[in-house]
Amino acid sequence: MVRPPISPCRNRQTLPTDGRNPEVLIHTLSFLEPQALLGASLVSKRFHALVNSSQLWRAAFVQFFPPPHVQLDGHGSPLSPQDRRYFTRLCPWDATENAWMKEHMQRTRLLRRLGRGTHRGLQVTYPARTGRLSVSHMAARFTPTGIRAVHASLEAEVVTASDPTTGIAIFLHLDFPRPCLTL
Amino acid sequence: MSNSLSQGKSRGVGKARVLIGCSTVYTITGGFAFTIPMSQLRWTWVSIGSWIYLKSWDGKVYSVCSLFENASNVFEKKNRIMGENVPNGRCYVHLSPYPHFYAAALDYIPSGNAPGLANSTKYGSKPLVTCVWIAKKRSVCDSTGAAVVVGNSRGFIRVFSIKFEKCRYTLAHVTSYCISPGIPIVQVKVDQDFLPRRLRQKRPWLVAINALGEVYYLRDLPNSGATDGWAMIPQTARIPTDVHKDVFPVLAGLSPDEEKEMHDRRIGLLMNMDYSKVKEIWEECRMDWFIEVDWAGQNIVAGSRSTGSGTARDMPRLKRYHLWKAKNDGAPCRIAHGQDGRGASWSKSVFNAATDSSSSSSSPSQSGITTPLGELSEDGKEGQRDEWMVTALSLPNTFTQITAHSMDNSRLARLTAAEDPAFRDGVPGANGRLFAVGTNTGSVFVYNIRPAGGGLLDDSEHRPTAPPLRTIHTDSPRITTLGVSSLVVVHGGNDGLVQAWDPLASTNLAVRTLHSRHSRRRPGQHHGAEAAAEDDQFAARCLILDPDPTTLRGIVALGTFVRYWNLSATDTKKARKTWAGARSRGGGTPGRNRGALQEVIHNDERAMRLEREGQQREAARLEERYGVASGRAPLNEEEMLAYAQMVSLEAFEAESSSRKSEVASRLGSGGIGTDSPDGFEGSTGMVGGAAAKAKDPEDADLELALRLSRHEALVNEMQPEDRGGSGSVCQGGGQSAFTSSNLGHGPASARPLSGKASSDSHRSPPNRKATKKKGWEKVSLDGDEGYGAYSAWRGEDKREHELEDDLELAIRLSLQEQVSQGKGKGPAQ
Repeated sequence: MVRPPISPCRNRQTLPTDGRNPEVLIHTLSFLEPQALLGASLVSKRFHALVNSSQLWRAAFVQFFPPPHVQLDGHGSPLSPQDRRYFTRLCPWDATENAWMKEHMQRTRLLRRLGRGTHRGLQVTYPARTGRLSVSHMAARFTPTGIRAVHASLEAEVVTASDPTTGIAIFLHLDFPRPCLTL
Repeated sequence: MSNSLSQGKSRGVGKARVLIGCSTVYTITGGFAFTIPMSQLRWTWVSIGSWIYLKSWDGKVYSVCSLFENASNVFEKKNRIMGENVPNGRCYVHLSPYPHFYAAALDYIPSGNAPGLANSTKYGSKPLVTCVWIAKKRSVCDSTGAAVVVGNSRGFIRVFSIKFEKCRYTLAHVTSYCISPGIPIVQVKVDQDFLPRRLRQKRPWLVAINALGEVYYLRDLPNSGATDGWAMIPQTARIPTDVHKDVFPVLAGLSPDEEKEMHDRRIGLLMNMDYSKVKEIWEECRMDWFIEVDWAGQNIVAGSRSTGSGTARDMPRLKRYHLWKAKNDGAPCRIAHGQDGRGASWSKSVFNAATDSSSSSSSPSQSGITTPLGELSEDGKEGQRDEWMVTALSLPNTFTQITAHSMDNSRLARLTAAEDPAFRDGVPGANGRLFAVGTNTGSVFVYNIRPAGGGLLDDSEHRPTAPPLRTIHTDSPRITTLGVSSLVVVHGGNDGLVQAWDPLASTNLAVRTLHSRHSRRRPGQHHGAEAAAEDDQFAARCLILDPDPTTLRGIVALGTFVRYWNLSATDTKKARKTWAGARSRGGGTPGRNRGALQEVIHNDERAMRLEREGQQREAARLEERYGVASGRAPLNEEEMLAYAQMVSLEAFEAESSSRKSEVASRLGSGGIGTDSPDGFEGSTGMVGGAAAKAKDPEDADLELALRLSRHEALVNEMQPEDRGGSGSVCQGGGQSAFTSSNLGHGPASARPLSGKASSDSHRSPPNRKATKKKGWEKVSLDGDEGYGAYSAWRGEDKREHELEDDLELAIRLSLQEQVSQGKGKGPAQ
């Protein structure tokens, strides 16, 4: 079997895909979208390892969500201070260590879904039947199966409950007596 | 004096309303309005600041505290609580025994003062119900024993529980606290996720803020015994004004008994004092304090909205208090002096203006209902104190009022460190919790109210101010409501605009507009006599987001309408993309084992195939609709090259075959001067024919033009010299004519005219030339070819330039023959 000749200029130490110094590669890949990043993991073993680490996803996150306009001081964080983002994460804990990837994908996916056009999703507008005056207080309980909302109009002293998914408001009979102003 | 007030007209003063004509009294923002009952026109009212003074017909002046929206709380199990914000107001709790019973018992909590007794002091004199809370979950009731908490305007907090007896719920009074005598309690918050586990960790479960901005919190359960677990955040202690010294002069040198007695007397005084007086004694006595409590991270945000008057005293402020070291941590405790100058030390009495601490502030007053003040001061318990860290959340000064605020209430944000299995340092987002305020200029400021260390404070110094994480400028003139989840910040404005924004600023625009202000589906607003002037039916008043941020659901109340959105509908139309990324969304990158890779390849191929087919279909459809899309232009490169090659090849073949025939004819005729023109002519004819067949009409025209021009030049040349040699030429021509005509006719059968023309023209060159000269313009050629050809024809060596020059000559001659044929008959005919 004849081996193809190894080109003399191929010096493993200077390739940017070198495993020793991945910062350049990480910075380059951080501009990609999450789907493209997952595709990039198929390029080579090195890429696969890189994409499966959290460093790259963290960098991609930082690229996608720009830093706040005010500089925060760092407290010895591994990344530069501008790279720290404060938020509540969306994904519950999982056993794998790539939480950043999950967070990034989940967040971008949800934001994209949220930002799509008006034909998506369900939007219901219905009268609250709290009388002629506007609703001033509201409480709602969201469960996986359904939602229940209660709304009140203080001005009109009316409290109603409703099921927002169907848009039906139930008038709750209420009989608040008048206060007595004892002075 | 009649006590039952009927409905009356309402007037607006400031930004809110108070309806005493109806059964509830409340405000919407700091100001208030009044409904003057028709039957009580004797009442006049004066409003000073945020206090109402009622002057009745008999001249007595009663003051009524201003009212605020805390006096109502809605419980989604169809129980509701509404507090009366009038003197000696009661609190109505509407409990439904069963979910399907709507008309249920209406219970009310009396104010504790028997009517008619003006100075009963059980809960202060003429207390108003200023804040209420009702439990939203059963677990809170069970673990704390408190279902309803009511705070009143004299500093009392009462706790009630719900008992289920005889097929209905009843309220049972559990306990009462007086945490700040004389000072109204502005807001009360209870931990909704309180569990026995948190109780074991000794976390506070109740937080209250009073009108002086003091924040109190309670650790012990209400029915746990006499031990009083109230504590105050030291940095929020009250600051007395100069008037304080006059009212409560510092008395020194009293014995403990005397002190206690004086203490009690003073408290009694406070309890009965007019609110206006109370306001003068301490600074910053206002009713628009609000708090948001991050129970899990042990943060409290306290702020005042400001009434927009713009004075220096009236600036809105936001402070975040973080429980740095909890009690009984074992760590040595030091006196935490507040960074903002408010005193921190604990002194005995609330009335001592000057204490032994560095700053002149008074101690917190904390007591149960029976224990006198000051006895629970913590001098002896140095190690038991909590430490709080204060950070001012900075607000730019370009606005004057905070009009809305909200905190992220998603499930993951409410988990404490112990409950959260994933709590560690490198977690994405550093476990922040978002808090947002909206202003009256349409801006929203988003903060992270957990300290930057992620809750694990290891830094010794902390910054006194924290800037907002994000500033959002919306299009609404005023923000009336806010909702925050981990994913988005949703704002509702007073023009009805509801928009969702990304707190991490991936875009600077709104992510989604959930309700635009120009919505056509809004029916007409109600204009009735009862509709108050200030009831803005376009404004978005309440906004609630689903605590699970991944479901993208929410409800907003706009005027009398409620709008619900659910944007997480799964798309069934589009087939799930089977990219590798989609498959591995949960589990990381696609594995490198053989099967997965093959699958990836297969999927990619399929996708490409589909795409190509789609393109072809599209192209076909376009074609049939609009005609062939490709004319000459869309020849791509290869095709153009091939075309050019073909053309040139044909030309070459034609040319080479014509040359072969010329050579053959020359050789065949044997004569030097005779047959060459014929051969050439014949070949010209051939070539002409072949060329004409092969080339396009323009080229044929071009060639014709060339022929004519050259022929004319040749004619001019040939004319003077031909006289001598005409005879021989004719003869030769005659002989050659036969041959040439044979030659010419055969191959040039397609072009008989040119063939004949060539032979005829050849036979009678002089005549032609004689006749033709005039008809032709002299075209000056660089005509070496022509002359060369002619000289060659004359007898010189024709090997050089033989082919081309003779060709040109032949072309010319044939053209001339054509013309002469048209003009007249030659003699050779």
